[in-house]
Amino acid sequence: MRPSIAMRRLLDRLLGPDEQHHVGDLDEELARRTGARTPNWKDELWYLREATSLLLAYLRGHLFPRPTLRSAPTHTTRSPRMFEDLLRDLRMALRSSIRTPGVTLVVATTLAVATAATIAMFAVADAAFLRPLPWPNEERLVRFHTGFDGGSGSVDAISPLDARGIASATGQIEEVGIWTLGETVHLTSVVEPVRLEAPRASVGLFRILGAEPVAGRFFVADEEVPGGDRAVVLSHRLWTDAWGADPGVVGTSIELDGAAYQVVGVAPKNGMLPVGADLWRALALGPEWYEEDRWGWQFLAALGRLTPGTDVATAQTELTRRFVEETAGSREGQMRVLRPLREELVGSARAGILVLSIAVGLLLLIACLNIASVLLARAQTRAAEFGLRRALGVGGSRLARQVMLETGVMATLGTAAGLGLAAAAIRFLSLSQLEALFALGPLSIDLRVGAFAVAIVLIATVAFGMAPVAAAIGADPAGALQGGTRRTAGGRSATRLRAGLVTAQIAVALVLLVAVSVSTSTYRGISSRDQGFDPDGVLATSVELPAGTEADEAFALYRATLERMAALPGVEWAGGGSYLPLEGTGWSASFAIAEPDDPLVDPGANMRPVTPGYFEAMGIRVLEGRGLTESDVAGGVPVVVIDRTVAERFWPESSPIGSQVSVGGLSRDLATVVGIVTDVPHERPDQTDGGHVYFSLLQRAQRSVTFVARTDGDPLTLAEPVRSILREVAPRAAVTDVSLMATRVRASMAGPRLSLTLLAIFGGVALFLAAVGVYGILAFTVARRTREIGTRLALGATPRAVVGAVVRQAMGYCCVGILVGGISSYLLLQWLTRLVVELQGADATAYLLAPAILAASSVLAALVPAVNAARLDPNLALRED
Amino acid sequence: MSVGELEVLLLLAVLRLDEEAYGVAIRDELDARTGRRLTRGAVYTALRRLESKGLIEGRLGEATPVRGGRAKRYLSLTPSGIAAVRSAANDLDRMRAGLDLSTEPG
Repeated sequence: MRPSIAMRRLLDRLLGPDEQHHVGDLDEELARRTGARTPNWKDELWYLREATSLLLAYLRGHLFPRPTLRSAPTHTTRSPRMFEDLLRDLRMALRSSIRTPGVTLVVATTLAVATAATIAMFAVADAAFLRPLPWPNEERLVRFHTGFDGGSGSVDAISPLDARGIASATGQIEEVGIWTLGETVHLTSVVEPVRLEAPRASVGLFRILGAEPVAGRFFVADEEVPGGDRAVVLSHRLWTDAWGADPGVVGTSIELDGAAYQVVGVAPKNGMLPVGADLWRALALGPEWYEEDRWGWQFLAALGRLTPGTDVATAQTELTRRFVEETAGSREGQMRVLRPLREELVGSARAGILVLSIAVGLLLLIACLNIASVLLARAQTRAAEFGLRRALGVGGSRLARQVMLETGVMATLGTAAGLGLAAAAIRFLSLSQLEALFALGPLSIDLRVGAFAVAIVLIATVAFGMAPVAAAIGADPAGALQGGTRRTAGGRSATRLRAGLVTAQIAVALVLLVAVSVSTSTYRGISSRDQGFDPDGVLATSVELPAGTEADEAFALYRATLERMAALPGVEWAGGGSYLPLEGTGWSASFAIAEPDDPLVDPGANMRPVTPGYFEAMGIRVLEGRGLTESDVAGGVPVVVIDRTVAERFWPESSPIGSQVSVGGLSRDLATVVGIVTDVPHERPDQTDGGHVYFSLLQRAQRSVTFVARTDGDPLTLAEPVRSILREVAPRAAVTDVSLMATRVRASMAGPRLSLTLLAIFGGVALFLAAVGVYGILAFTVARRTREIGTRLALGATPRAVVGAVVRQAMGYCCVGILVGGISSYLLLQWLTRLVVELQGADATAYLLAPAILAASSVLAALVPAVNAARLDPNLALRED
Repeated sequence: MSVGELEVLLLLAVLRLDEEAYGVAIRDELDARTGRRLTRGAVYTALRRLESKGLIEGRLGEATPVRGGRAKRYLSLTPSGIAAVRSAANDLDRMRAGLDLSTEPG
């Protein structure tokens, strides 16, 4: 819409029927102006000006009605004059911004960078904490877990038995939706089988999510009965990619792992769980899953909605009461745990986002200090101009307004540029998978984020503008007119204020640098920590065997593959496993010592099916007993190898080797512990989480296996030979992934690394801004003291002494700034380490390195003005005025 | 009733224009005779004031397409408006009586 039309509408709405003729007059004059031609932008501007004049008069008349009898002649013209004064000031502000491009550029750029960082960070924090999750009644949604040790530990998965127990608490929990964890299928009706994330999900899940099918329908109760469950709902992505979003696919049959399924519907694009699912199959659980001794078979995720008015604590109490009643003490120490969904999704990201938000806040603060300092310097050099204008009778408020307007122009420019930068930054953050890492919704700059930006401009204008405004109001007409610009400029107090601003900048920059330094050492600590395995030199090749592969067939295939891999030149060890370190929790099941009077149970041990050679290939050390061997075969004695965490928990005093254990989900036979190995992390390298129970793939086959080969050379050279082995040995299997183990470790650190990168960028910008600040004040001081320095040089001061004096001044700011910043960062870190467990306390290097860098860059920044001062020609300097 | 200078000028413009006194014409008249191009806001405020003082009154005229279908509002002086102009003109006359304004003072 053209602005003039918007303005006309506004006037139409505001003016009463007996005042509409003013708008008519305006239109008539516009028509007279333009004649037959179409209105151009000048007409548009004219219209805007005239309409604004009318609007202001209208507002004035209606908002501040005055008794008619007290009218004074000048009164009638004050309103328009005020507006025109404002316009004139704005024009002056624009001209002055153009006249001093350097100042404008510095201020606008600084503000743009700070605004962009702030907006981008706000968008992230907004997606994580402020914006409601995309589900109806999201505040009532909870996730369920199996807790143990009285709730101090928990696993994400629950068993069907527990899911039923949870659903029975109808007074507190309205609805429960469940889906299976970690299930994949191959879409076999296409030429090249495609591997898909294919959870089986209950009817309730779709109801809780409040989802509406894009086409067809979701599951119905009949499909939750075994035998009736051959129905699938496609994800929007799969539907678009594989079927070109053809609604006709609903009702057709597709083949998954060789079995026919009917497509009943298509899910909406957003707001589906689990994230990343390609399709959902109907979930039917037969009665056998609800037998008492199957409580350890945990393969379900559960989402529930509380009844209105029920809080998490109440629901938890009820769940626990029912659990005790139901199990009659047979599962002591365990419980069913529920947690708010929001906490589950963004809880782990909170610390990182908090740290980054603080960093951005500090950056914004430095930027503000910098801008205030630059503007103050400008105000100082303009003291003469201000003094003159005051002497000519221009009021202090008028001068102040003009300075505010100039600041406002620069702030607007900077913020506009900042918005553009922010949009780019957000695209970058989206590309860098930040959304996925932090499980956030799509990042965007919406109206609220925009409003936030405008608020920043307003606050910034007032905040940065204050010091120069004070200088303008305080301009001394007499003093300014008496002397030249330089000697009297602004006076001592303004310079002292600037020194304070620069010191503050150094202090804040130090806080940021210490934060970067501490985070870096934390990150390095994590990366270099003994993770219990050695990813270097290991190639990992993931394979998915076709559905219906017989166990014996699989055993033979494993053996043949490993044998031929081990024979490849350079390969030291070859092995295979179904869930590698850092691949997630995977499969969890209960684990207990097989003695009736031993109540200790781990309901969620991480089950790890591996082949002989796996420990050696992955660099997992056997601490006691033995690893798995070729002789641990199906039909023989079932054996397990446990890690140190399990060993210390269950056998704190004695050796576990030879003990009998019962493992849920493995088989109903007891297994014998034959060895202990080192702990490996299963999620992120910075989390110590053992609790693994290894058993032999040669005793129980799995369809998805990742073969690992350790070589002393470049593991990538193995990629093709391994592929060709698999093509020959297992022509029907799909190779789903070939990657370096080291790459997988790196990928698992993507979140912390991204945070660190961002923090480092913020730290770098802060350092730069602080250096610019130091440079600015010294250059200014040197310029002001030209005459004094000239005198000193004339009286015999050496250039070296002059340089020394300037650098000493910089070091003065630096020392105070570092002292204040050091104390602040110490306090901040004390607080942060309490919140962010992963942050190690700052080591001495962190505290020494950051001030050193800061001091070095301050000296560098001081050198240019210092050398300039030393090169002054005393003759010229003394004559200058 | 006392009126300001601008108000007197506007009242005179309305008088001069007689039947044709409406917003655009009044501003043009003032511009043509005095060279003063008043801002729209100033005219708005002054006319509002004159009307609230009961010195002028208005009647709606025809609506034309160039006016976006909005009617003109023709203004005319009320008896007290005429009295106010007369009194202001008399004041002016009495004050300048005997003064020679043809040359610069001093």
